[in-house]
Amino acid sequence: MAENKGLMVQKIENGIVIDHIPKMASSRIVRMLHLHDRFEFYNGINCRSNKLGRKDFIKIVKGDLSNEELNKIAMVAPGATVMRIKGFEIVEKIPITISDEIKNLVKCPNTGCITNQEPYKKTHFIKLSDKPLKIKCRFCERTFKEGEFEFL
Amino acid sequence: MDKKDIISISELSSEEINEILQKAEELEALEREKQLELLKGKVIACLFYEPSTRTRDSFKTAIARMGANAIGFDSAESTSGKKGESLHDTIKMYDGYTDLIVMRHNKDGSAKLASEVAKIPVINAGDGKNQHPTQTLLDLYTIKKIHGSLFNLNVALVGDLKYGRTVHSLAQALNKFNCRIFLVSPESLKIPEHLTEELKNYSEHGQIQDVLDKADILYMTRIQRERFADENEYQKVKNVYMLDAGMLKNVRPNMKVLHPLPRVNEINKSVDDTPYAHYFEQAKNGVITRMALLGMLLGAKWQKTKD
Ligand SMILES: [Zn+2]
Repeated sequence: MAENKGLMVQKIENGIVIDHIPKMASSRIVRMLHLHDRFEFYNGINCRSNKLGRKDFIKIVKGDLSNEELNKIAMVAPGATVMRIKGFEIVEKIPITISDEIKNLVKCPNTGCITNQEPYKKTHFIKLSDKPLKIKCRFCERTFKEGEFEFL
Repeated sequence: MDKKDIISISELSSEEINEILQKAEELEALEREKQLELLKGKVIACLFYEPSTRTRDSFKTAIARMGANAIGFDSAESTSGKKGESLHDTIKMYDGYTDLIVMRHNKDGSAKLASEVAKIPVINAGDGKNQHPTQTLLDLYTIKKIHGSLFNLNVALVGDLKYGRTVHSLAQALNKFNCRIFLVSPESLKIPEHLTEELKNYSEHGQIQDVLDKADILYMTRIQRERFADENEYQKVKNVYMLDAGMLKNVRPNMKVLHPLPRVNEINKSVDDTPYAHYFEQAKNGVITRMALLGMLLGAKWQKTKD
């Protein structure tokens, strides 16, 4: 982990490390998973990275996340590395994949879609394929590719 | 069929579509007096957020012929939607005191949302640019009555294939029955790629003449002036996609011409007097198809009487 050498943040004893988050994308993960209400965590923003140039990272102290929560990270930060830490060591690299159903995470890019009008802004997409990522709005039935949609 | 709602053709299997058409046929053979008993005492909400006289009157006739009562509104102006009430809240309200909701709305996906909010059945009478499943089912009912089955037919879809949601759903449905689909349109009004990706057996053409002698059904649609930036282009295209009786010399004997109506000039009046014209019969089938859907979703039972 050569690229971690320069990190100013101390290693955590137990918890979860989410690394290689695209720069400035970590705040979305914090908000989405309500991390600030639940855990103590370190949040690196716009840090130097050999792999990405710039990156964000999150280190959750003593906490754990469910598989469902981890898969939400895959949607926001597809290339992120997620590791479980015990006794200062990486005990598990957790593979993350985008769930088959994506609820209340993505805004429908179709301006004519009812989900953009209703005040509740509930959205629901079905994953059609991973590579390339294609998702279909369960309401307006339109299909969108990666890069075409934004997050709520 | 164990569906609670009719929202989109994409949610219906070929078996479910056949079951609906079968029940419609049985219902058509039933005496008027018996039809009138089927939904007696039911109250059906017709929520039309955008005006559509044809669809609304077809549904209201279907409701009346089954002995039920219709309530609701005919435009967004007359609803609480204008006062800022969300669709969610409006549906919740009607869910509380009616038996079924028929809804037309200008937003894509609105019917799906309504069906998730409501405990009672919802029928989509058109949601924005997305779906209009009862139009498709009446088209299928018409085609099945003509040819006896929906499987393996040659169907030509002609005209505006880009914006016409009617032809989109019809193409999706015919695909479920392994039909051979001829897509005939000007270059600028070709069917969107995401639809052809779904189709198993189709070809694209620029001229009606290319497909006239092969088609079992010729489904014509309106080409609207508003779709063209250039008036010359419109004038050129308009005349290419006009059908007249003289063109029907070498067609298959049982070929029929359909059109969702109203027509502008895509079908010349001379076609009306040929044995191939079938668009007025098609329009009539809307009521019986909608009656069957209302009855099925509300659990009414009927069987074919002797004919
Ligand atoms: Zn949508």
